[in-house]
Amino acid sequence: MFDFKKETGAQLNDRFLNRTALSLLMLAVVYTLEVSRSLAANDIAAIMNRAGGILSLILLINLLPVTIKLMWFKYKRKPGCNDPNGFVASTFKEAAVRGFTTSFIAMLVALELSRDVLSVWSATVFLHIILALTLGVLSISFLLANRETEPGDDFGDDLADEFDKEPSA
Amino acid sequence: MSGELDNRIRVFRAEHRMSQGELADAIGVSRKTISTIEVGRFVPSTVIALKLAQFFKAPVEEIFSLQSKK
Repeated sequence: MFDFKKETGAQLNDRFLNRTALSLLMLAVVYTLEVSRSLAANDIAAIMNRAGGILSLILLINLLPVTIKLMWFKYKRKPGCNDPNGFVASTFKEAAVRGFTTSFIAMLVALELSRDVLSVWSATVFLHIILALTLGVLSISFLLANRETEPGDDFGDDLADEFDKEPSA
Repeated sequence: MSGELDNRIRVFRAEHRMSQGELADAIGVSRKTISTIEVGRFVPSTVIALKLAQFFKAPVEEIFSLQSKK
């Protein structure tokens, strides 16, 4: 089991980015609920409003402790917590680029739709849709790229055993 | 010569009898970074490559090489 007390700066940085992606996914759901709320009937809208509030609270609980710990590590100048070169950090950057591309395309589509087809929708609804899409694409692409795919990541012990073996005569 | 990066981190790790976690801690990265470099899923930055070379006291070319075209 992972020991949080022995967590290094690099591990904490990875955990922070994972939590951030998860929080962004929740935020995407909150914005999706906002869009649905503006289109739904009053009683359903009230439920969606409450669900959005609960999700926002979970988002804060999910992100706040790890953020405070990371800030403390940075204050203490622990090695690894400022490292932008690791696998998780570069995966996050790639996901951010995908998110930006999505927002740009979504804005172009929204611009066209707002002129003719969906001219009755307010600008807020369009902004919520674009935000939900951007954050959704960013977080999902990060979480997919960052999932564990290598079975038995740690080969150290196996290899040590191989090196322990006496060469056959 | 193709653009695929080959590495011998696993061999160096075994020679030093180290786990991925221990190596990660030694050079200040996460275990995930080491494991993804080992399997060729992640191409490390120059800084990480130099840190590995410095740690194993070996030239970078001995740890990393470009795969030759078959």
